[in-house]
Amino acid sequence: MSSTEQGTSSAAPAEPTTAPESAAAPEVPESFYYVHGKDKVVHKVSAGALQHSALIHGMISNLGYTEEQAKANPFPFENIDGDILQMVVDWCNQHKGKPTPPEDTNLPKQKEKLFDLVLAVNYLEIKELLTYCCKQVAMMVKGKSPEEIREIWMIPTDAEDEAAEKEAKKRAGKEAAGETAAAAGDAK
Amino acid sequence: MHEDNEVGFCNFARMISMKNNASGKNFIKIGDGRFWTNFCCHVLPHMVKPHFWAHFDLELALCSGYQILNKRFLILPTQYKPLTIIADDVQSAIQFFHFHLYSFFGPEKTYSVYSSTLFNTFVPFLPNISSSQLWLQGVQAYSAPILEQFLEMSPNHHTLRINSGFGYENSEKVARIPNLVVSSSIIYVEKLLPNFQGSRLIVNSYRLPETCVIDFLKKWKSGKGYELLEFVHIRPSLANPQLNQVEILGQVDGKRFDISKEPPKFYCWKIHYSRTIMKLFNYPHVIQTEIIQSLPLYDVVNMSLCSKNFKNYLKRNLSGTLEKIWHIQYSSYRKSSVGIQTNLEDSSFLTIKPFSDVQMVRVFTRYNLFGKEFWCCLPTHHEPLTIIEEDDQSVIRFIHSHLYNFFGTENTYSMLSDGYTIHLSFLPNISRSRIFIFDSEDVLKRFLEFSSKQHTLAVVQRIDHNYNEEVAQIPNLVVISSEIDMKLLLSDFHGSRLFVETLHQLPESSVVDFLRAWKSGEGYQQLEFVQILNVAPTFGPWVVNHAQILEKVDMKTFDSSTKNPKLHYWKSLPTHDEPLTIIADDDQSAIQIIHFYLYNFLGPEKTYSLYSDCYPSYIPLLSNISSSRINLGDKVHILEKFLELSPNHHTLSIHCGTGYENREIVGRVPNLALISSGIDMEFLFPNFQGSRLYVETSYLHKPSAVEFLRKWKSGEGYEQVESVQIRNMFNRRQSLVVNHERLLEQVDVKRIDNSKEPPKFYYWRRYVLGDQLSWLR
Repeated sequence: MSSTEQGTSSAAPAEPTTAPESAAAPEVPESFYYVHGKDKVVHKVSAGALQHSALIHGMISNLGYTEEQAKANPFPFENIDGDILQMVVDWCNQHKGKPTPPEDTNLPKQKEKLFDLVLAVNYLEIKELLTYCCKQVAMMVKGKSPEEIREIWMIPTDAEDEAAEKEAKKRAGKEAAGETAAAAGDAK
Repeated sequence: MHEDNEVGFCNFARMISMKNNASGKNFIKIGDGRFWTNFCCHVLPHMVKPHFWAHFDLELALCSGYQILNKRFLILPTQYKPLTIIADDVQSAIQFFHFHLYSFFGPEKTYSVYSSTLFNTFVPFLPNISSSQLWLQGVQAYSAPILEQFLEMSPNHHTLRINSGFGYENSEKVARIPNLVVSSSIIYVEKLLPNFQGSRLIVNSYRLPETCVIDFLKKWKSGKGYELLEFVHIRPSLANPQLNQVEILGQVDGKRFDISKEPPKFYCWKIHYSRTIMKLFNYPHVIQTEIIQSLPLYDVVNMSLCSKNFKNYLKRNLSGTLEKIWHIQYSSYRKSSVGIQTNLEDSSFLTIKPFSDVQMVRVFTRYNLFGKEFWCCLPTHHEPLTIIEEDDQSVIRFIHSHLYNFFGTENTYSMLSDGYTIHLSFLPNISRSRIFIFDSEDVLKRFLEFSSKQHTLAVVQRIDHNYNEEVAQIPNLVVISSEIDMKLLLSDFHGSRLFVETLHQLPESSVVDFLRAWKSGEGYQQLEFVQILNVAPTFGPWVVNHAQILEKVDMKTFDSSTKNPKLHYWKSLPTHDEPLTIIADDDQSAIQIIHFYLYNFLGPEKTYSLYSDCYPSYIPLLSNISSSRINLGDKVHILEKFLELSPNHHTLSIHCGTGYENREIVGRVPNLALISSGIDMEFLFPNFQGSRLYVETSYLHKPSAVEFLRKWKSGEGYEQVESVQIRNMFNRRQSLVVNHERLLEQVDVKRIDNSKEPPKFYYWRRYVLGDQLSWLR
């Protein structure tokens, strides 16, 4: 359903190798669009799959691109890593035209990637996937002790909070003093 | 148990569980979630034309079809009943569906078997099962061959619980199972223990020789065996507490085995994992909120202990969610079993149970709750987080203090205890309570000392009770007591609503004084509602003369129903487990007003049903009802009136009562179910114009039945009839039995079978349960 091609966004992407989705061709041929991430690898995605993303759906809804125009103008998402965009595209393809189940077990297991994935999904406004990802992040602390939760999510302790507060006050005091001195200098 | 598996287990703990319960029915249950419960299957030996047999309540309308799947019938699921499969060979049917489900859901899911019955064991022999609970009874109590066969099919069990049965003690297959729970009075534990090679073992048995336990523990402790063993719980039966635990522990330096002390092997159970660190505050605010809202309530409360700032952060971010919680309820329905509910959760969000009450197919783990570790079973979609703890009182106090600390004073905290125990948790800051007091007069006093500011209190007392004046200060008071001193209570009551049910002699003068003072405004200014019921006046030594009392206080002025009946209702707000209750003198008009309002509000497209199963019979006279189940009794005339008001019934189920069989209005209902011993089929058959008929009666008028079948078969009448089932209500009465084979012979029943399958599927057939019972023959 999707193809991944090496190349830059400026170069016209090669003909995708993907076969038509089903033997029984639909009456209206499905339109495809092209997206690429930070790594410039172009992904071909059907309009149906892209409907999951409110952002992209909003962008393409009134474009009326022909196949050639779509190829020539892939959507750049420079703030998203290529492998993360690949995951998102895969998910959209897998769930194209299907009701989203209450649980999704096909999410990436690598928690290192999860943070970037959540940000990307939030940016692309894919609501269902964002819900699944957030659940996945939430599961990291399920059943853990407060100490463990603090460690996993890097939540400061009371003492650290107090210290940070003192530091902030001190800094604010210094800044205020600096401003007063500057104002006095200006006045002179 | 690996962490990820643990999570998976929560979601798919009983991807398939099969049960053969006391009724002999077999269930295939797919999943534990709300999403999946509608896809439950229910496997039965076929006996009658199925779609009619199975749906005979109001849900008939919701499920009118059935499908044939590979020679088995599937009855589509309804709101109330699961998907039902009807098959001759239950074993092969379950195997068939298990195969399909396994190939569909794949091997990652956990498949489990739950098999229990009071009489005969039924164990489905299925491959790829990893968690099972089996009751091995009856003729199969000698269970070695069954278990051998069962475990041969599914050798990779991670958990097996065996209740009853014996003979498998030497089985290598059983001994290799990592988590094994054995409860049987007749097994030879001394044979079982030496063979065990798993990691967790729980044994409940009568036959538990001390020497055997000592040898086992010594060997484990010394490291000369049981290397994989992490946890063991050996318990003699309570009926035979011959095991001297102190002596045993003394002999094996038992302190190291004591679960309450650090650091015994018990604690090896918890496996630590390498953790990924992810700074929550690096996420955008909207994502942080989404993440936190994904967690169950107890995890949120748990998190609030991280720091003061984080607690405030949670409160800010979850303000929408937390504000919706207005009710936290502690319920104790059995000793040592406490449930905690909030109005946010569909079911109890936390329960506390002793070891003996926990279903062993659930996996135990150490779980941190509010900063303290407990032995727990992680929650599934159906079952809440379960804390396994014998001393539930200290746990519930601990939890209550945390919940109160987190949710604060804005929420209502309530306590419900049931009538089977004096067990009651004494907690502070409880404002709504229902308590039962049986044998101790100061329980109520003590309870009120902990939580003096009760908004609503319901007390049920079964003993003589010294009047407690604090009770009279409670705004909403319900007292059910045979011996409460009503004179004192009435004179002192300062609340706004009072409901009393008593056998106690109620002095007429007290009632009159009370009513006069209330009516005149001399007292009881805040009082809105009073109801006093003398629960058994005819048997008591004294009966209140209501008429005389009302005359004395000119009671008519209290009757507001003459002006505006709505004022007369006492609305009680819905709670989590009880719906909105409306108390009205004239229930017929109350229900009509409500129905009228709902019908206008929701519109005619909805299906409006009536379910009236009370005794004596009561039929609300409502219009636009299309599906009803009624306990008729002697109210035949009301039935006619009701059907005139709601003539477009598609389904009508009438229980008890006769005399309506020849009524046209009844015969016109498309789906008709009649259950009463006196139904006269002679009148009913000619009158029936619907499409499905189900009758349970004790008398089948044979000529009418033959005539009916002939006409139906030949097409001379009953064109719209699709299915008919008539069951012998008293199937042990041989004199009432009809020879159905002869009956069918007379109408050449094979030609009625439109599926070309064996006709038994499509017609009533003999069904034997045990030796005695039979259906219509």
